[in-house]
Amino acid sequence: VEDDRVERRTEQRQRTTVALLKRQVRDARRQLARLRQQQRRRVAADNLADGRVGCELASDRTGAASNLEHVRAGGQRKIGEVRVQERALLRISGPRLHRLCELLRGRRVGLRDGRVDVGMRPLSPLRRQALQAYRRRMAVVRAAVARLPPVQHLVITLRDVDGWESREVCNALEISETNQGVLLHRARSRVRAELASYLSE
Amino acid sequence: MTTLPEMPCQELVEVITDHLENALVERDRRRFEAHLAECEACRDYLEQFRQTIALAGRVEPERLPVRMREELLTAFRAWRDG
Repeated sequence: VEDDRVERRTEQRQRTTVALLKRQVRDARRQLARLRQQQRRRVAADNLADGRVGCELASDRTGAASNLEHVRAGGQRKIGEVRVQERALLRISGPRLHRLCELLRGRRVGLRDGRVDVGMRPLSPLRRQALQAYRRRMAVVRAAVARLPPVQHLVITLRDVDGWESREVCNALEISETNQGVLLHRARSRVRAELASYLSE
Repeated sequence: MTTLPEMPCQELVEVITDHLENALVERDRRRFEAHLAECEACRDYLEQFRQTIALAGRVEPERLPVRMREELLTAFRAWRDG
């Protein structure tokens, strides 16, 4: 019986390791894809005259075609408020895009003389204040996640930070849905408590 | 139609993750929503939970070094096997 147990544990460990390795490979591929996407963006940003930026900032082919048409017709058409583009960018997703959106939030992005014109208007004091508050809240959440017990930390990282599905986490860690739910709930509760405490200060 | 038993605040807090994961059975989901309609504190709580998840989703994965991930996995294995 003991031997069986040891064997099962060994198998479990091996499966977890394999899952981890697969995940690392997947992460690396995703990162590579993100980098390529970034590079495409940079190239497009350097070469705007043909309206390629319009395509880059669109959420789908129809939007891209529409932007391209406008850019070609008007030459200086503003693509719009970042708020609108943010939705489009987030649909492409990726943490770097989050950062990009954060940088651009509250600013206008437009085309002027065939070049992208970011930040044509400075942030209003209200906007700046909101952005600072958001960054502080982010810092609180980041610190709270880092302070969690390791197991809760792992589950919340996979689910909420990395965006894994519940089933993926259960498979990779070989735990039941219930177990995963409990760990996730505890982790989120702790982070929420810290956030609420910060917000009530 | 039978009246469902009221869901107390404490229970709502305990099942909030299930609610957000759409994992509540129909009966409990109705109790959850009925309670929420009446209780402002629980609405605030739910909103804070959503905000927490949204903010956690914006923590960049790159900020977690590989070594830390390995440590977390080791700790996890010890917890699971122990």
